[in-house]
Amino acid sequence: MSWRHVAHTADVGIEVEARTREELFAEAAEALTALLVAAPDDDGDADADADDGAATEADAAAATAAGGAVGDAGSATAAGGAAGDADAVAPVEVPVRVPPGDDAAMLRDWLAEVLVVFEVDGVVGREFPVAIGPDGLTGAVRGTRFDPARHSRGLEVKAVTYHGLRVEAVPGGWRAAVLLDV
Amino acid sequence: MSTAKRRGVGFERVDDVSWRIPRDESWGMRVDGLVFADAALAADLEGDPSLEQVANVATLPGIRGASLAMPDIHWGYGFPIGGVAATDASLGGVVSPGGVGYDINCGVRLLRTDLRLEDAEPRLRDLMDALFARVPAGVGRSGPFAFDDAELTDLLAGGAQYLRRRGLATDDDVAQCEAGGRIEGARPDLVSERARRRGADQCGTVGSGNHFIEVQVVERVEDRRVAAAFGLEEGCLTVLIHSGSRGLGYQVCDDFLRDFQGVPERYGIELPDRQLACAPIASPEGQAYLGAMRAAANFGFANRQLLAVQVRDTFEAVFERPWPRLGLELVYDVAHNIAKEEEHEVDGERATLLVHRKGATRAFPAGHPELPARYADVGQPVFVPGDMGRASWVLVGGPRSLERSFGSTCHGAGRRLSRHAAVRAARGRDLRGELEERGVIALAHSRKGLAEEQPDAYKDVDAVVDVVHRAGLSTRVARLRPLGVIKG
Repeated sequence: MSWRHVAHTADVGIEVEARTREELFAEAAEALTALLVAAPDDDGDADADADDGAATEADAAAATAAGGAVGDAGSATAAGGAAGDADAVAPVEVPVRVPPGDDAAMLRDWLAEVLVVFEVDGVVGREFPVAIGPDGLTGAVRGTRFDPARHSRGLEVKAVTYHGLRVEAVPGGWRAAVLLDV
Repeated sequence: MSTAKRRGVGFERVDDVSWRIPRDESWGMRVDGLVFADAALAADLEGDPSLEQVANVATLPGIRGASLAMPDIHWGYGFPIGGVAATDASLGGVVSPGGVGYDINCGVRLLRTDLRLEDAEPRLRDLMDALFARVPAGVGRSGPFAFDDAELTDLLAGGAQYLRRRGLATDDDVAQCEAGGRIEGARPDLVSERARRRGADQCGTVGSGNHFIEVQVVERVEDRRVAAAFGLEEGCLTVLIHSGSRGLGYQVCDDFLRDFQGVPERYGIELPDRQLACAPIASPEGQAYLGAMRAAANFGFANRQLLAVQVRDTFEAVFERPWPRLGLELVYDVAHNIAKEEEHEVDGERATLLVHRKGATRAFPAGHPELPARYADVGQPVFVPGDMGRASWVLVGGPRSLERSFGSTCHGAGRRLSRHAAVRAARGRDLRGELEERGVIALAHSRKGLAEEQPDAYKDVDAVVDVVHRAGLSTRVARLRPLGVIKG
């Protein structure tokens, strides 16, 4: 399982690979969240080692592990919950449902929901359980409220687009590409 | 005539300032593509996927004239950024949310002042610090203006005109806006609850990405008569505000793009790209989108008005004079992501067309009935922000804009580097320091954001403006040099 961010002239893309379709969706949500919530230093160090024009999961993880300081004072504004209180670290789960459709449409709609859960409810997801069945997708964003003391806002993602949207079964698993408007 | 082929899209020189993508029925194109560019910009476009996007837009039902692109064209999603498409409802023409973009009524407004640079310079740093402290900018920032649900509904219906009723805009502020700051036919009831929640507290905020507030000086006037009509004089300060409809607009577009999946098939429309999802203008789906889009557009006008209110408050505090005594008046406010119903002449006949402008600015010439009285004899002001290190331009709607581009022109310099490439190019550099050396105070909430928006990330705005000037789409009035910018 892996994801990477890919460059586009005005926007940012996500490419994901996973063993199962459910993992693919969860990975894509993780990649999206890694753009929305910057690593503590949001100033380019997260991808300092990427030499192929792409930020990777490993870079983001390394940066996240680096510490808890907020990158730029003022940049971090709570999308939702209050800063510093116990609520900030209390686990939150927001259920998400997506109507049945083709895999690409469901992936886009799922990521659009994850974006709204972040933008409107202020929830930063850490886990993204997904089940896909005949009734569509049933999933959740599991995480904590956005907390300026621990999180820093990353990119402003306007939307998850349909442009170049691709979900495909490949030998040994699944692969997807999604373009975000930023 | 030189011809370059790329993945089946032809690209031929028409004249010094325009290039044609010939209609190709195997591609499904109903009209030609026409790109405004000079030889150098055209050479840069070789191999660029944005040309395919121009060809894709040419497949839309009811498109008239040509699928157009301005010289600041770059790769978008579905439509190219810098694209213009006019569709005709009487010929089954469609409306495409992707032809407006996510940031509905993203646009710019210019404020002029009586302040001369030499008088203002000692307080310039204080001014920029105060703007940075007082005007919310950055990802997800909320603003000082709160609107309850009923007020938000009125705002979505009334745009800047609603703010005038609330004492937050003057008569001139409203008159000097495209469409009087309010697009008729808005349907606030079709703006989803989540769109309202996403944007309700963001009216009066800059946002992030390429949005900004820039303090500038009129460096050079090229058209004295028009500059005088716009209240612009060499050596005087101006303020350029670039923002849109914030999260509310993004969500309106997203909601309708989702709802539009399957709609083209329902109407027998085949599309080369899902992002071009569309519906006949006359259909219930098309009308619903247009109603919601107009509401979001009104939010955009109101957003820029509330930003102007905060800019005026800040100038008053720093220069210790009421803003009218600083001459801090609105020159004009113009949208560059919008679809508008307009009367045009095409193929020798008058037609009501829906003009999609996706990263393109309306540029009506003198005498057009939609212009405010003040500009009836000179033409519509057009503002073309360049990068933060170089310059921005004030243009005026040109004599040939109606015949050549449905009254449209460029909207910016156009990106040259991806955001990621720009961040890489900024690594190890002190961008703020570099900008200070160029005489620009740059204050950004995110250093990465500053890196993404650095001057090198953009094409040379002078080259872009030169093309639209020579093409007669909009002509040069004044060049503005940045002094300070606040960004997300």
